[in-house]
Amino acid sequence: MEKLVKERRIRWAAVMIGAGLVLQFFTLLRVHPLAFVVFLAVGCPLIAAGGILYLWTLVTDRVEP
Amino acid sequence: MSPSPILVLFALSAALVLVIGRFSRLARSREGRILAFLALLILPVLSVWAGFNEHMERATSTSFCLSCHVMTDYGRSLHVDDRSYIPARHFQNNLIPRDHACYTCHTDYTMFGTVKSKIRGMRHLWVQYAGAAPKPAEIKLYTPFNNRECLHCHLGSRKFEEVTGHHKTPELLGNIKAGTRSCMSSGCHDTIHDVGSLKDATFWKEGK
Repeated sequence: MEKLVKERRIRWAAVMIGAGLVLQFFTLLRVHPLAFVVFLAVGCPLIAAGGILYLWTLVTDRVEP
Repeated sequence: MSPSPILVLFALSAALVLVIGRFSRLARSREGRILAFLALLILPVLSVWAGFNEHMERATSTSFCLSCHVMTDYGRSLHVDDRSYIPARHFQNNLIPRDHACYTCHTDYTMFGTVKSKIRGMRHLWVQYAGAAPKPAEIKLYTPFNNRECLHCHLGSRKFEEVTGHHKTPELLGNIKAGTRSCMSSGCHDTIHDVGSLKDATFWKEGK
């Protein structure tokens, strides 16, 4: 059960990080101020949220004896 | 770093993240946990750092500044065939790098000048998209242009130090260097972009 919760969190973290990376990838295809804003204001928070969720998963993971 | 390796880094990171997301049970094994750590933390951090640097570098380019419609006339003013237009004279004679023309003069040459420039840029965006963007001819600097930005290049150059115009009075050069006498608003170099009069201007055609 605990493993399933952990895997679900990892999946959600991957979805957020993946979405952020894909979004940022597309902002790099354009030279425009809005591309920079989207990179910073949308892409970075998505990746940060995913990263924090992943780290949360790591620190709450029980070490098996 | 050129954009292509950064795009590859992003694509690789995203692909690896998707693999971890799709097969999250990989994290049950030790090797899988290492791969997840790499995919969900190390590579995204590297990608964001590289992408941010790339965006910051692009934000100093002339094409970036001129990508907003409201700046079009300012871009045209760089090609005016008139030596009294200070930006045009600098641009056409390669006194500033053409691909970073706007940034070279409009950044603050201080410790946090680049950061201040970016904050000003955000303010431009806010005015453009959330406020009422002024007409190009009505655009004004938020603060008066500081001599420091001119002196960053001109200070110490023979032409600047010896030109007769800078020695009209004994204290003039000192006042310019101290910033107490403005280069631009004291009637000496006061034709800047002057986009309101572009309709009557003739334009330099490069290569002719």
